Amino acid sequence: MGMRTMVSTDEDRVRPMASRPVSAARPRRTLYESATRRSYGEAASRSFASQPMSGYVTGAVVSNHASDGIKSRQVSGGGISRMVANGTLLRPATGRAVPQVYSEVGPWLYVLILLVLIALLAFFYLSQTSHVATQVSQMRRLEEQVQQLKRENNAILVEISQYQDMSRIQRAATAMGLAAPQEWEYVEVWLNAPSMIPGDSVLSDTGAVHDEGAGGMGSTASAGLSLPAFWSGVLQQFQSWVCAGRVSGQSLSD
Amino acid sequence: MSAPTYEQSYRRAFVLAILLLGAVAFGMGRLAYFHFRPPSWVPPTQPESKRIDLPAQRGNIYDRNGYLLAVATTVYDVGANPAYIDNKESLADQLAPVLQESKGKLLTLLQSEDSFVRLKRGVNAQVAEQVKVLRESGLRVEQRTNRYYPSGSLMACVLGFVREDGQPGYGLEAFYHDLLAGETGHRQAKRDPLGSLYYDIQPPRDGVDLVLTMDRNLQAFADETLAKGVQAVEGKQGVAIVMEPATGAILAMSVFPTYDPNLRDVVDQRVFVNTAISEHYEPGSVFKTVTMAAALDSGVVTAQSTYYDSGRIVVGGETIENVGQAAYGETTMRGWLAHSLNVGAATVSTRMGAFQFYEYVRRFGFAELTGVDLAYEVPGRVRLPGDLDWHESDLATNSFGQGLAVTPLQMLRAFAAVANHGILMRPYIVSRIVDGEQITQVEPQQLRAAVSPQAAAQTTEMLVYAVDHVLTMGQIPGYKVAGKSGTSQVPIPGGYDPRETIASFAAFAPADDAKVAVLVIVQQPQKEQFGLRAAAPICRDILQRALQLLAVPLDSVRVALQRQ
Repeated sequence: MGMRTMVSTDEDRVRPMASRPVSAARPRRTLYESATRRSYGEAASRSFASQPMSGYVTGAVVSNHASDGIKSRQVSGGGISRMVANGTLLRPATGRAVPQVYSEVGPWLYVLILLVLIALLAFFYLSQTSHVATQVSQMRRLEEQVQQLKRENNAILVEISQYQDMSRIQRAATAMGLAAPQEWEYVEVWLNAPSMIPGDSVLSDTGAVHDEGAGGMGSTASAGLSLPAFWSGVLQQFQSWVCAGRVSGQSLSD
Repeated sequence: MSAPTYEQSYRRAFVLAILLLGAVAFGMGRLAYFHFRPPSWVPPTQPESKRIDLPAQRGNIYDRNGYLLAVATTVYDVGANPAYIDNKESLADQLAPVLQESKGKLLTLLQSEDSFVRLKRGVNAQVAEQVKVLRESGLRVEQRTNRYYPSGSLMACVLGFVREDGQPGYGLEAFYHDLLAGETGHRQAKRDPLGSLYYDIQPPRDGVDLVLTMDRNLQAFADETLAKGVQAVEGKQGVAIVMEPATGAILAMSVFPTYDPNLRDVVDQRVFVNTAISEHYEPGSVFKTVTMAAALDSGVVTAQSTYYDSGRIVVGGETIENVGQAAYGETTMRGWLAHSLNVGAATVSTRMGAFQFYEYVRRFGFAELTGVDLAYEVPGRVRLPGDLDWHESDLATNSFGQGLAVTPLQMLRAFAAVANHGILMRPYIVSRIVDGEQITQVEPQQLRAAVSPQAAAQTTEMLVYAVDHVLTMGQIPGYKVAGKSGTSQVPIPGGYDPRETIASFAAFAPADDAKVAVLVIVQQPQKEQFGLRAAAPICRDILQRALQLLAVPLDSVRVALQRQ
């Protein structure tokens, strides 16, 4: 079956494609074909008006169609009517004469597209390179920050350790009038272990150890002591030992 | 709506072309701009050829309570190029108070003919900043990483040190160097086959932090006590080791004399050697503990066994005598151990026979590395039957700690095995390895049962008896102490030095539930020859302080608590 294209326009001046069969020996050409041929002078003398069925489509490449299944519908917009066949632009949007405009800019378009491609490549290359360089620069800056923070952290650790230095503490203690003990006395505090869980009962359910011979300090101990109560008991016993000179446990320095 | 005319279409195409050309021109212009006018940050020049190493930070070392023992710091070296300095005297004037050096010394350096002179090494950031403020073109301030030991000489023999070139020397620094140093990273710019720039980046992995089993406070006390004790008896060297018998954890390890790892300005570099693990000695009578435990475990003798002590015994043609050639007659096992009778030890070892005796020597871990995590440990030396230089008399002399070479740590480990129900532990110093969020806990490691718990308990009772009745200088109020003294001769070519001795004392407490074991060795004491007088007081003081710091309750309290 011969090539034919359903054409409809919004203007009566242009005949429908169906009413104008296209010769099989004269396949429609693409914009680029036309441009190329024009550049070789083939279509130099032909006006666009004289070959309205040359198959040009605005801004798109159209291949020859030998199929009957092409259905046309009209899409209008932007002042230019476009033919859409199965979703593809097919042919000039208008049957109005737009003589040689595409042929005129054809070579320029090649150059333009080439330049655009070069520019895009250059842009992408530059973008990628600068992106990598920026990231590395940021990374380097962050590395320096990390190193700096580590240095500062270690400097603080050193400072802390200097404050914790035993000789410094000894000097400070001496300055406060303290002295190293020459002998030790052990004070046995008889209390059950406290509950480490707030509100919980004492861990040990056994009774307190009661040393009658040591002054009965253990009598204060009872089950169910909370941690504050335990320390209160300890302090109480320690205070009584300090104030009264009474040692609840065994004095080992004797 | 009317269709565009040719002119309109042409105009549109023209405008489009202009716009596209403009965009291209803009892009090209930007390219040219970036090419000829680089941005404020300066990209690396020829990055392809440069591989930048990213140094890892060396890990810190902490004691068991979290006190810092070793840390990586940044220090600065101040140098100068004298040729570029005009007014040297003025500069020396300015630098002297900043660097805390004498003006004369600095001036001498600045007037040098050398192209570069080092004015001061290792100054801190503040000093470096003050030097930079002088804005003298001939001055150079170089930054470098340094290892700093805040506690100075404390634990120096354990920690070791790191040299300026980053190489470790001795101790933990050498043993854990790979872990502490981390892994150096790198960054290198490369180009792919299409010429696109990319970076090969390997971030550095910082070294791990180490948390030790050692206690800084106990170590300080041990250092001080050992130094005073050794100096009091005019000894040449001293070693004190504190160990937890149940785990093998080292709580303190002191060596006298010691050094400051920050300075390392020592006359004799042998001071760097940790004599507790890297040098051996003849342990003397402390070794009788091993002999007794072995004899009891083998069943050759019982705790009630006796022997007749004539003051001498001949083994392999060699005559073995007690100290002072004293004879004790019918003697019990605990009697000869308490009085440290050589004849008693030789009698027991000959009854055991060489095979059994040396099997127990092996079981107690002598002549092998203890496996402690410190660099440059030596295994010691024990001659065994079958060795060319072994003699039958060695069976007798070895039984009281002569004729064999052990390290102090080996001796303490064997002694602690008796305290630990006969179980020999691997001594260790690092308790935790902290790698960021990942923490590796080092678990105590049982090596083998040297003797049965019964034999260990009987030996312990004998050691308690010895401290209670003979070695009373080892007693600690409130605690039952098991201990043994030792006095050995110093080997010299062809025999033993008749004047010099090695005094030692080993003890653990509480005897029935040992928490701490201590060994103290004083090399060649001049004022007191014997272990009981030269080493026992040091050992007792350290043991007592260790019990206090570890909050080990008094025996009476502990027993009462156990009865609850």
